[in-house]
Amino acid sequence: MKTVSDFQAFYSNEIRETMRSLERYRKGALFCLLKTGILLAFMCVALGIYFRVRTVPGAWNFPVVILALIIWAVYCDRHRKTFTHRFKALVIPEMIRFIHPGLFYLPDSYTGIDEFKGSGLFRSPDSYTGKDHVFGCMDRTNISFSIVDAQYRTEETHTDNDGNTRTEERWHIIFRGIFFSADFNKWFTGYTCVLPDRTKKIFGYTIGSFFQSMSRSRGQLIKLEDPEFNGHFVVYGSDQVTARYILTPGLMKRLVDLRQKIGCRISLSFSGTRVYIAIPTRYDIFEPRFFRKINDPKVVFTYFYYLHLITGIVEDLNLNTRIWNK
Amino acid sequence: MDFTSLLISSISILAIIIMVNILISRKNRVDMAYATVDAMLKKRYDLIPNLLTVAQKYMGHEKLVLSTLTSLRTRHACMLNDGMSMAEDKEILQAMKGIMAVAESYPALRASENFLHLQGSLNEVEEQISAARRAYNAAVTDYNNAIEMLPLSLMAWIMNYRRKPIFEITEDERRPVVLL
Repeated sequence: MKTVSDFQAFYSNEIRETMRSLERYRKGALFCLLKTGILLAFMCVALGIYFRVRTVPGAWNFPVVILALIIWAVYCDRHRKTFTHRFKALVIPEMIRFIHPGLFYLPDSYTGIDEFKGSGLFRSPDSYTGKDHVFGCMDRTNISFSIVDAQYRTEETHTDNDGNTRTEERWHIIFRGIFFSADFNKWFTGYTCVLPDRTKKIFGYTIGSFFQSMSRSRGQLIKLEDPEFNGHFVVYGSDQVTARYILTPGLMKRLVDLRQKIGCRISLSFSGTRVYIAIPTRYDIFEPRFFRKINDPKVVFTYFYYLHLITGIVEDLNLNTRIWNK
Repeated sequence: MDFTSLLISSISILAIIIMVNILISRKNRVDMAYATVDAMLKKRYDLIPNLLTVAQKYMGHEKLVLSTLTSLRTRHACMLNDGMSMAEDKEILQAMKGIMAVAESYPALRASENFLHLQGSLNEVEEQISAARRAYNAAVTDYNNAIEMLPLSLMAWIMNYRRKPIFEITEDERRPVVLL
C-alpha cells in the first residue's frame, strides 16, 4: 500500500506540472468569469439607466437582472465542467495508476444496474445513474467501484375542492454514494448480508434482537460471537454455516476496523462469490473545487486519501489471500 | 363455562402449544447443526485417499507418515456411519497435518498442482468445519437459553429437556502454539 511519502514523491515527480497548468487554467477561467460578470453588471446598469430615460416601467429591470444572472451562471457552469473534465482526464487516471497499475478509470461510466440489483442490498431503482468508474485487478482480486445515485418514484394523487385530480411524482433516494464490489476469496453459495444495526441501538440488545429475528425479508437472522461486531452490524443470510464460513472472527474484526476507518454506516452483502459494499456519501470524491486553489499538495492529497481508502478495502479485508480453492 | 374461562383456557392452550413448538424447533436446530458438523468431517475424511495418492507419488519412502494415515483410515472407516468422536477426528487431522508438514521438504510435491489443490481443499474444509462448529454452538446456546429461561424452562422440565454441551477444546489446545 502507498504511504504518505510515496504520495509526496508521486506529486513532485509526476503531477506537479499538471497541477500547475490546471491552476493556471482555473485562474484564467475565474478571471474570464469575473470579466463577464462585470460586463453583464455594466450592461444591466446601462439598461436600467436607459429604461429610466425612456420611462420604461421599473419592473423590466428584474427580468433583465435575472437573465443576466442566468447567462453568467450558464457560462460559469460551462467553465467549471471544462475544468472538471480536464482534472478527471489528466489527474485522476494518474493517481489511480499510481495507487495500482492494474486499475482503470472511466469518468462517465458507472457500476452496472445488474450488479447493483444483484447485491440484494437495495430495492430495484426507477432511476439509476452514476459516474467515475474505477475497475481492474489488484493483484489477485478483481474490483469495481463508482459513484452511484439510485432513486425510486412514487405517485401521489391529490383531489382539490373542485374534484380535479392531480398526480404528483416524487423521487426518493435509495442509495447515493460509492458502490464497491470485489471478487471474494472463497467459494460459497447462498446469500449473506451485513447491515448497519439500528434496532439494537434503539431498543437494547434483547428486544432489538427479537425485532431483528422477526424480519424474514433477507433470510435468517445470523447471531455471531463478536460483541463489537454485533454492536455495529446485523447479519441475515440464507444459511447459518455459509454465513459463518464467510464471516470468520478475523473478517468480523476487519469489518469493524473498516467501518471505523471509513467513518459511516456501510452495508455489505456476499452473493455470487462476490462481496458488495455500499458506502453512503454526499461527498463527491473525484470532483475538483473550482473556486479553490488546486495545486496545493494538501488539496490533492484529499483525492488520494479517498481513493486509497476505497481501494484499500482489498487489503483491509485480506481479499488477496487465496489459500482456499479460488 | 363462561366466556372469560373459555378465553383463559384457549390462551393457555395456545401458549403451551407455542412453547412446546419453540422447544422442539430449538432442539431440532441443534440436531441439524450437529449433522452439518458430521457432514463436514466426512468431507475432510474423503480428502484422505487423494492426499495419500499425491503424497505417495513424491514421498514414497516416508513410510511411517503415510502408513499412519492409511491405518487410521482403515480403522475408522467402519466408525464413520456411527459418528466420529472428537478424539478420532483429532487423530485423523493430526495425521493429515503431519503429511502436509513433511511435504514442505519436497519442492516437487509443493509445486504440484494436485497438491496445491488439495491444500486449498483442506483449508476450505477446515474453515467449513470451524463454521459448522460455530453454527452448532450458536444453536446449542439458543437451545440452552430457551430451556433455562422462564417460562420455557417450566415446559422444558416437563418435557425432560436437558442442557447440551457446546464444542470445547482441550487444555492442550488452549496453550499457545510454540513454533520451532
